[in-house]
Amino acid sequence: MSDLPTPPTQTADPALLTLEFEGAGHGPLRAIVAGEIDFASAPSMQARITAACDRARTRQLILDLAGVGFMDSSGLRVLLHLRRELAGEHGGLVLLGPTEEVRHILTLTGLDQHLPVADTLVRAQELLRETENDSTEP
Amino acid sequence: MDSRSSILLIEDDEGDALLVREELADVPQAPAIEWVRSLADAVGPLSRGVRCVLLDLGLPDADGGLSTLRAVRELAPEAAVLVLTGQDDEHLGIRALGEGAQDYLVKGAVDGRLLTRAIRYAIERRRADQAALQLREAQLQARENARLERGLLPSPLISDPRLSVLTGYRPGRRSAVLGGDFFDAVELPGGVVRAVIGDVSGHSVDEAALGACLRIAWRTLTLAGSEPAQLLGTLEQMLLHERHDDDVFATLCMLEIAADRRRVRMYLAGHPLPILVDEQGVRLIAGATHPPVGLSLDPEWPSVTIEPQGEWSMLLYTDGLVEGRVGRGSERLGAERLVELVREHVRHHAQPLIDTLIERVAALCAGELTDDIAALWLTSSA
Repeated sequence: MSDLPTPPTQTADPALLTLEFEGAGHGPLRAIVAGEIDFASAPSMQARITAACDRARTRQLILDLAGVGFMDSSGLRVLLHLRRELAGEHGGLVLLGPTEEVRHILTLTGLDQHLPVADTLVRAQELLRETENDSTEP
Repeated sequence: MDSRSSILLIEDDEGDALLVREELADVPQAPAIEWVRSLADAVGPLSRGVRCVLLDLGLPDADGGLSTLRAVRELAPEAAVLVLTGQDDEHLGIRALGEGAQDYLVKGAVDGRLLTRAIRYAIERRRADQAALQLREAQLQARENARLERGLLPSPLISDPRLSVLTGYRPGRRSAVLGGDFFDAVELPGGVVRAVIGDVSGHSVDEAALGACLRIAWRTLTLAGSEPAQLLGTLEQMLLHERHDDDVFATLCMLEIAADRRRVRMYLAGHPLPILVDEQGVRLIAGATHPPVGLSLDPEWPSVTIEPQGEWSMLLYTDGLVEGRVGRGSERLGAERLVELVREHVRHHAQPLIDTLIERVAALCAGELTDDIAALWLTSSA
């Protein structure tokens, strides 16, 4: 069961946010977020991603933010929560392809220095492997 | 909701159930009734929502139907409940009123017309009770908000007549609770002025209380003479200990204005950039940003020093002021456009009033301001 790849699932959110999951099996889970991450959509986004990681039995997450047109501090709270949850052995979080809007808030809050960001899927996977090998990283 | 299909009769005796329905059948425009035999059968209809429950108190449970009544009230707290008792146990009906039933009727002593009236009356009474409850909750909320507001948004402690501090606050549209936005400004002996604006992530009464807590700690540490970097470190320690949820963090912008008002040292922790207005124009002031307070990511608290030219003003604000939606897409107002608004404002008004600016922003965002806004406008005149 755990060896089978997780089939892509899609769910619509009333608050203009969609989430799609890909991958896992042995590798990391990729969560593709599209829409706006704000106070209305953030809590359910967090719950659904956590549930998907549990289902896929993985602690490695690639959060694909290429379709995110807006993110506020509620969204940052989700990123920081996931970062903390997935910290430690065999875990990690990488942000993939954040839009200009998302990069802006990451820079503004100084979190660009503390959350790994990748522009390609391959690079994201590399970063996760590096995190795994470097146990000194929080 | 259709009142004709949302009355539920819970009655184990088939004969009695038939009697109730027959009595109602003779009444023009009587409500339609759904009949179930037991509480177990009632769970489905109750969870779908009914307006009135007719409950036979003779159901075979431990205390003459009263525990069934409590279960019904729990399953459908918004429904009116009318209990039916036998001739000999009217006392149970009276006890049922104490347990939250709207009324009781003695079986066999009511006709269809009276029963219809009793149902309508019970529904109206339940509605009135709920309205009274909501009003009470709103009053309590208002009092709580007033308390929190004093904690979050104090009067600045400034005695220098040449340094004016204007403050503005506008609660978000999304809830009755204040957010965690806070500000303060304090003049120290010797003339140095410190000002702060901050925002605790999240929007519940807990975040608001934490904001008030941080603001008071900030003022205490400032008055006690704590150096800025040390103060911010202590504030972070305090947030780590006092927060109710490990995900909570706060952003803030803090200024230390020299006694001669010619130099301003700025500390940013994940907060939107302030706007400076001086002889050189209107612009955002960028600084070395420390991550938000409460993430324990960096023990160093960097600062930048600004040297404004001539008379100057600075606008500190929380993200609610720039995150209002403009137009139909995802686009938000943004800091650059706020600079434009301030520029336009200072061109036309000698003394820009913060309330006017907030109103301008609100108008541009067409009522889409869901987040709280706090703002501080400091002006140094010669």
